[in-house]
Amino acid sequence: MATATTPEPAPDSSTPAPALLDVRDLYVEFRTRDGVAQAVNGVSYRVDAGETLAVLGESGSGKSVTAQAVMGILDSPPGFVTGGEVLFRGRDLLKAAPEERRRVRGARMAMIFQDALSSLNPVLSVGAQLGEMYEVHQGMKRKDARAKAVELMDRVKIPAARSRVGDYPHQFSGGMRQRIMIAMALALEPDLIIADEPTTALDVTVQAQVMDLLADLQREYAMGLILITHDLGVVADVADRIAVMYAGRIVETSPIHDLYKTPAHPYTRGLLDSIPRLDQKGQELYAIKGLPDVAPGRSSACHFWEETVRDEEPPHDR
Amino acid sequence: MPEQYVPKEAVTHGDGGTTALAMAEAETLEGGRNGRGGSPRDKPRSLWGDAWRDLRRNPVFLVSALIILFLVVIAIWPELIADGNPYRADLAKAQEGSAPGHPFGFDTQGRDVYTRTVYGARASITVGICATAGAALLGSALGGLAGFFGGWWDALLSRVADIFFGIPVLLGGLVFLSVVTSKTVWPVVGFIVLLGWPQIARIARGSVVTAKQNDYVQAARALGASSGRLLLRHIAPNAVAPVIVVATIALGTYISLEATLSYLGAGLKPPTVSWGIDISTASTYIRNAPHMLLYPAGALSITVLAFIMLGDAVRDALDPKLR
Amino acid sequence: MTAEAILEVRDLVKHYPLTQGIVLKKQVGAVKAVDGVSFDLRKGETLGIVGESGCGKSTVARTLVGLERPTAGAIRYHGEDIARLSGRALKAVRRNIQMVFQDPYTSLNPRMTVGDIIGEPYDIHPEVAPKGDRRRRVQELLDVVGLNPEYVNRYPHQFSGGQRQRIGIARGLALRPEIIVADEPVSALDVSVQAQVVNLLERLQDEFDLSYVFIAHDLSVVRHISDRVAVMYLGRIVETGTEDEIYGHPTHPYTQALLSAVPVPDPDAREHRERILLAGDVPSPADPPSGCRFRTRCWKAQPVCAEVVPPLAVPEWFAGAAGPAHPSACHFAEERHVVPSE
Repeated sequence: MATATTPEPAPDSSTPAPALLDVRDLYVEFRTRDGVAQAVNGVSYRVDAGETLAVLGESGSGKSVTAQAVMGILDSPPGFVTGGEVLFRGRDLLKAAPEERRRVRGARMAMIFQDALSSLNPVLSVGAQLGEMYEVHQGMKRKDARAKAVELMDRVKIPAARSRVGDYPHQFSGGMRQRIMIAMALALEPDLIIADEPTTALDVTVQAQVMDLLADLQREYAMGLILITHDLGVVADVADRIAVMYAGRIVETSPIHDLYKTPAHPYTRGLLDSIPRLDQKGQELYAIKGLPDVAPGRSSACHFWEETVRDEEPPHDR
Repeated sequence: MPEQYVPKEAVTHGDGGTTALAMAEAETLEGGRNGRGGSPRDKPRSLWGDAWRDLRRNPVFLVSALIILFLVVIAIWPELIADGNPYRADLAKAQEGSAPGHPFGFDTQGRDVYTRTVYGARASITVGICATAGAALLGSALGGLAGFFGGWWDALLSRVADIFFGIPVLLGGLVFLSVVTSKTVWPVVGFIVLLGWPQIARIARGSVVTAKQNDYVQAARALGASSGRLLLRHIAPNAVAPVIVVATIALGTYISLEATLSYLGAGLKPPTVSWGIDISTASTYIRNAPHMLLYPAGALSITVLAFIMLGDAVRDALDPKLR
Repeated sequence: MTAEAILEVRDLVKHYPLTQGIVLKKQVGAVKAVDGVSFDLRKGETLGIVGESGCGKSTVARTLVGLERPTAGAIRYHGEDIARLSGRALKAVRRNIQMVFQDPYTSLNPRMTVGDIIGEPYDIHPEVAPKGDRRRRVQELLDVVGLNPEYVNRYPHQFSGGQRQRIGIARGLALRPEIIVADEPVSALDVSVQAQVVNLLERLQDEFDLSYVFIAHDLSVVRHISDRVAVMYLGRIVETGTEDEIYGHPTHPYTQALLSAVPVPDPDAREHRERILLAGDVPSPADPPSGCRFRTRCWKAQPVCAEVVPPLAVPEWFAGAAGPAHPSACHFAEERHVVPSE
């Protein structure tokens, strides 16, 4: 493992029950005309069934790219997975045939995106799009698929599902569209859901509704959930464990309670100190100096340390 | 950023943010393009600078630009490469094939085809450039104002543009130009401008409407900037790229339109030397003397192609998203 | 805080007509973006305006800086109604009320250098700075917002989001305004960069004696920066008060729901925190509910709520009480503690 700062040891290969998802030492790079950019630099994390792992990071930290590589939906070119393993129930997906990956995607692991409006096809009714999942993956008849679609919409608490099944995505509000996205992800009862900033585009009151729903469904189906976000508040509300990413690496993983109480990595500490709190009238916010910069050729274990805190410890005497 | 500028208060903890390159872009391809690859750039670069850098490396651009440069030069100084007289006829040599000193042979009146092909560039290039300039100026002025001010002016202009779109080009050309007796290129230029401006106006209007909604235009308005300032300083520079692209591609089609009209007898008229006229004459004798058709038609095709290729290259450079 | 009010907004209304037909336009209704909003801004204070998307907070901002003309109501700057001004007089007032925009990527003209962007206010208001002095002033402004003064010849795309927002702030400062209206100035930025910009805004406020109207949907940021807070819902202010009154003693059910929905970065809080989950979505501002606009999502709604518009006033039971009395537009206003205190 390249990152000395990742505290979690690689699981022993003789472990009897393999984790639901075990990402080991993943590397992803983007090859462009102007050079190669290292987006993910040896990321390792694991998720078990029924567990929620939050992957926290700012833009450019590689958190979304990692998820895309895991799902197998990385834009390639310019993105290339250059190393590592993605073990899904012990099977390395990176070595699997494209046809097998396609079957796993959707049926066994599903993804929820931030922008529901652009992730749904605007010219198909939501019922048709939900039903399509069953028609394609399970060879169901159209009429039965439509009935299943209504059932799904009920399950994600869309009011009057039966009468709205023929509506088009733009006729739903942002929160309802995100529910439809969740319904689509749930359709085939996958073992793992990756949610990439699922509530970032939503208003707080709607965000609360959607996160609540997601947490309920996860419990109900005992799914693994990877929640990718930049919001430390959302993470604190739902996650079991958290992995903090910075410049393509995981700088810290820990159980949720430990991370907020005793953040080990200076970057995590900086992040926690830099957010204004609803429950505190703070004074000056701590401002992290510098921003992640993924430059090729860097091999240091900790970019953050090199760039910003070498000369001084971030003050903690608030 | 090559050097890290540290403001005074950054030494203590507080407001001290000087950062590397735009990180919001880091997860996209842009990030790589913006020079994250370890080569920070300090030279200020504008859109035009970026476009020029792209163009210089694009072989399509280089080839088409060279051809166009060559065409423009011989349009201005045809005697540089053809020392003959395009009007001198030697009926004894009518329709003869290539001979020493006359590589393209002779036409049906015994005039040198090579010389006429070279001199024909002038008419085509003049019509193409003047018509494009006229259509672009008229179209972007009208379309830009319509997009900026909106309202009834916009509605009126759009309807007028629709009417012009509805005119069949060739029929309109035959009718309009048949009543004109002038033997210069200007009636043809005028006709093409008349039919060409609505296309440019539409593009300019859409482009201005998009640019108008940008926050920086709102910011300038909030400062109290006048409409003229908003248009000239903020909107026009950000809206002009699509107009340039469309105009460059239109230039090629205008040249071929001129040739078509001339072929039909409605465009340029002798004694103007034009590829269209020569093609028209030659088509009657295509079985006996195909070379008479081949050379002017070839020159026309190359010219039109060069301009369309240039337009493509410019579009790629100015609007990378379209690629 | 009893400083004089430098900006008084009274019964501000902004309706956008909905029309039908292409040539003969017929008005078929109106989007009531802002529908009767009143507040004061005092010298040197920060007024936070919070609310969810579509509540009209950005429209308020745009009318304050003259980007939109109000349909009705008054905006009085030092007693003069700027909503009625035009031409030269409006331009003169604009110098004193400047705006900082949300998106640092679209609020700077990509074809202009940073020097031209920050110097543009002087081109438009040449009386502020003599021509020879402008470059020096621009460089000073860059220094003030924490950027290298030598960057004047660079273009916006060579800067990161946080740096661009600093450029936008420098442009807003150029004319030495009294009031800065900041419309979601940090919501497009990363958390760590957000902190830098918030700190910068606070420092500039002290340095230049600025008054801020700070508009945001992020309740935590608003609490951090604001002295007083107004909560908006569907074009109206539902509750207003000091930062402590709104966050510590909210009385309007919408404020309470909004506050309880904000995730708090403290995993221990999730067990014992009371959450109010609202049902449904915000109704369309083209057809707002009668009476109290929040009643369709409110758990306290009674028949009276559909008939009588609750005025934004200090609830009667506050009268005489020593508690934090502040106006709340609810027939059944009562205090409820929703934000965990430390």
